[in-house]
Amino acid sequence: MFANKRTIIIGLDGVPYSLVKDLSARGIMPNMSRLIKDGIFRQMESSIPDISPVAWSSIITGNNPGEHGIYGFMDLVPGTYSLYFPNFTNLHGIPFWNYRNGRKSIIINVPSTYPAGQLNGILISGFVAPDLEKAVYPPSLVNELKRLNYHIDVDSEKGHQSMELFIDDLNRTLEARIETYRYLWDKEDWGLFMLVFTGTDRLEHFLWKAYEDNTHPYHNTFLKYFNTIDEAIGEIAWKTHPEDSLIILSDHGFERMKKTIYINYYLRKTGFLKLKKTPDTSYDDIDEETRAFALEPNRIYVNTATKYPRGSVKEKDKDVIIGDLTDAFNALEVEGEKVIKQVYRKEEIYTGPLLDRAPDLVLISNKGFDLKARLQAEMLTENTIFTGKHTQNDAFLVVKGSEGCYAPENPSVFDVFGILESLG
Amino acid sequence: MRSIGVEATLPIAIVGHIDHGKSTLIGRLLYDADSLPSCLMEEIKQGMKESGKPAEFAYIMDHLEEERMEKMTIDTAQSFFKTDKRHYAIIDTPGHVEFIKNMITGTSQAEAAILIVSALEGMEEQTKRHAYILGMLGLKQVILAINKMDLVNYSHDRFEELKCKVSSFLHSLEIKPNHAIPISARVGDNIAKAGGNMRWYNGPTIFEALDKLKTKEDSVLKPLRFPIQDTYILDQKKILVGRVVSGKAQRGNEVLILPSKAKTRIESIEVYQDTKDVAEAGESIGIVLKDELTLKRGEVICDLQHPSEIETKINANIFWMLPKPLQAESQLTIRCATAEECCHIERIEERIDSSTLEIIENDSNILRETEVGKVTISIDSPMVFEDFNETEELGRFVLTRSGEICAGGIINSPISL
Amino acid sequence: MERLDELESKSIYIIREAYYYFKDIGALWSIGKDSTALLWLCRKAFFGRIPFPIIHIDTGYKFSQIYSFRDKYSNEWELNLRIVRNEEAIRKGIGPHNNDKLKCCGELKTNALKKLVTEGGYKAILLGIRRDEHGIRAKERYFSPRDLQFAWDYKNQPPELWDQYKSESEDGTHVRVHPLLHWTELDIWNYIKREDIPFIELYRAVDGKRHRSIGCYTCCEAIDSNAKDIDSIVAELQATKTQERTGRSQDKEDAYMMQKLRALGYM
Repeated sequence: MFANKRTIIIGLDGVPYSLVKDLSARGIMPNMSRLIKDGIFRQMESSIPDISPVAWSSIITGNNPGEHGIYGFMDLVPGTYSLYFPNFTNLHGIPFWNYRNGRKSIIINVPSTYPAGQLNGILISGFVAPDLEKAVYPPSLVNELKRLNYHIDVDSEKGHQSMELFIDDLNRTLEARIETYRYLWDKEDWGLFMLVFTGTDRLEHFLWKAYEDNTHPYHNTFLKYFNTIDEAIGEIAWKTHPEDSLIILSDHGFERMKKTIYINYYLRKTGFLKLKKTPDTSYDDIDEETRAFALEPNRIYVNTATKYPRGSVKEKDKDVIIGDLTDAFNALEVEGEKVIKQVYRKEEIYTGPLLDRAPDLVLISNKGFDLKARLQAEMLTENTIFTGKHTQNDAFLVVKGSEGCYAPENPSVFDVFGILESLG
Repeated sequence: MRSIGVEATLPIAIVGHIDHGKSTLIGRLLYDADSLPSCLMEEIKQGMKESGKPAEFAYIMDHLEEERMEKMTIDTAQSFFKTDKRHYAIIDTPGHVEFIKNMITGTSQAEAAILIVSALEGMEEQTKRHAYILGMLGLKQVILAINKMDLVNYSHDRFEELKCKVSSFLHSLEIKPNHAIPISARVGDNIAKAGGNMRWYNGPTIFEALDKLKTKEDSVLKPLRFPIQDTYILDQKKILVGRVVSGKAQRGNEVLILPSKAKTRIESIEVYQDTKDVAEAGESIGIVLKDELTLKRGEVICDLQHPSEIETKINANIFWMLPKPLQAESQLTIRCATAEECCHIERIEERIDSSTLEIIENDSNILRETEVGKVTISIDSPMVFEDFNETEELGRFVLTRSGEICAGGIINSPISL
Repeated sequence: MERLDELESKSIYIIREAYYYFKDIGALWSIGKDSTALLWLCRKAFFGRIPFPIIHIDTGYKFSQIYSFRDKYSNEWELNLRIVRNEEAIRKGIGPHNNDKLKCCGELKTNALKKLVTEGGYKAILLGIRRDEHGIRAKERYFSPRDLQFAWDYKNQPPELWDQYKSESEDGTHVRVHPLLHWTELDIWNYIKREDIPFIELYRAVDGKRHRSIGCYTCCEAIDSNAKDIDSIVAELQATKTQERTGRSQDKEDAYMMQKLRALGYM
């Protein structure tokens, strides 16, 4: 064993296994290609739903949402229809960096770690983090980050204004993130270093099409971005010592989007959901006649009398409603194609003390269909500005340890915690 | 009797090196004084119960987003709290050297200060610089809090060692701390309650020490000083407005106006829709004089029997706050109370490092940011000055350039005409 | 000296300093209790004749009582009242609907003020903000410069020592002056009571609800209260610890989150 053995984790938000394989083979990600050959490279399952807050919370705690309690970007305050945004303080379970006694951990840009809490080391929260001052531990680091022009996240609103502005912001955010990692790498003596790049996910949302279509005006921009990420990975790999362990992973996959499907609209049309008013609807406008409603992106809740102020479904009728909902979703077709691949009941995918807060059903879509709850939707489907969407089964994992490293054949995001433990 | 809510508030500054626990102490003070919004109190209590750990008070306090006034994020901190004895306003002072001018700004509004030193890290650069600034601003009531005692195993020896070290440094600045208290802001030892972990300490807690502080001394009994702020003409009446700095303005009293040395009487004291016979120190009023005189802002109406001094040259210690250094001989504006004149720095006798108090250079021709200079200032026209210990408002001054304050100072000795 | 006298004297001193140094100034009057107290202090500072304009930013979404109160007292106190509206934004239909309150505030309030300051050539604007109303206010200065973009560079504010303030503003920029910075909510009510300053009826409880802060009707929620007169309001404030602005539904951190999530297609 080596006393100075360190662990380095690089996260690439939303980067699919298939893309890593492709770009490595094409020489766009040469460093990645080398690491894949030297270490273990696996396709990895994401959480359900396959979105960053849920997936990353699972990665850092090793828990499933029934234990860590993060089911999405937003949730309802128990007993109400009021939305709130769960953050790091709502996470149950202890992130792996708190288990490392003695040496410092440097944690940069892990999604859903806002506000930054105390740890032995440094933490800079990732998306969504409204206030840099609350996103940094120790607080005294804020000024240095400002000097480095650090941005927590790309301003995706720019993507709706002008692609040029968006890409500019994307690159600048990446540059500052790289500068920041370099600064912190040398500043401290650490045992664990974790750095997540989130621009990948943002780029894929807007420009997945540009990846697949080599005549797209932003095709090269897309490849260049991944090339820059690969350079950063190469630099980090070069800085590691022979005895260090390196993990590179993503939290979910991505694929081409065909259509966005608005679940709450479908629930309205099929009579499950009744709203007191439209437009400008909020969850507070859910009527008593409602039997089920959806929260972003694909979570379905039965409007039970025991849980909600205007809940009308009795416990004894719940199973029937769930059956009806399952039938309704299985029947959903758009342009002759079945939209829903799988309807999961919460008991099938979650376990733990917070199971009670889980959605009653979660949907997985067929290829190309992007599910969104969108309470305000006035149509079933839409072609949006986005050309890429998340996938649940195509995240990736690379492990390169110094001595006999371990990873399950078919890993999921819940296994990362254990792999880290095995690396020591 | 004063009713609740109108009693005096004591503004206190909390100063010290970065990461020594200022924010944590502020959060703890507010929490222990039950002065946080109730929903937040609940949240903290719940959090402590669930995690079995003390709350992260620093986060309750530190938040600010660079957004415009209309776009600010919600946050929860209030900087007022109350003990059984009185109300306190906490003045937030940043610990980083870059923000030294914010620290000075905040501290200049305070009547007392808590100097916080981490038992773990000991005395550091900003500890000394902040202590110096307390001295420079003439703050005489200082509580020394040795924080993070939980992290040094509540060691009595460590406390005594640091107390001794910091106190002797403070003594060199002529600051005598009222108390030195070992605390853990995080855990809550010796803040509101005596710390069970430090049986060896039997002095006051922070709350007790605060309640022993004195509020600002009444300067009503001193001779009249009324710096003229502006002249308003209303219904052909010439009203000199301003605030009484010390003593009493009384209708009919004879006064001397400096530096013009005019002698006259107070004809009337004007306030909105009324007149008064007497106005005391602190009051904003208007004065109408008996004689028609040409007076300008900055002149001081004084008690005829006990007038002020006027000077064109002063010796002072100044603290330079701009990134651009001060060059000797450069032209500046000096402001004392409402007076404002052109001046230049005739001599920088000593250039001092404000964190070590070492003399960097004698007879220097430059003064850099955060450095202290023992200087001689030569003023183009005479101005009224007084001993700082006599009348604070006339014993302290600022130097400005283009309307912006670049240094503050306290007069060592006026060089009489 | 009584606390209220001390507060009043200091505020009057600051108001007079602002006028002495900048001359081209105006005071913002939202018709709420704070800015009405500020207006009262201005009247006292200038013996009843305020030598500068009083500005009311009208978003078009104000409570109707605000307009009648404004017109009544601007007459009675002989104010030089200027009403500003961002007509262009109102025409474009920007409003508190569409779930975008930040934009609404930005256009109808901030940009209206921006326009006024730029076109009116104001060097300084008096505002009735207080340190205790909001955490961020704790870092405000009495004289707080805003740059050309109206941004507040709070980390780089010029120092303020004792009673000495920033006395110039560069071309195109302006200084925000805050004569009430050191007051608390309770001080304001005690002062309103002592001076018998008129205040808008919305602060009084009707059917168990009253307003604690007042802006646009679309973003203000009444709090539970039975305080129908000023003594009960004071008593209620002494007993309460919830924040004044909790009544405002524009919960800004949430608004920020929503905006960012919406930009990625969530919501």
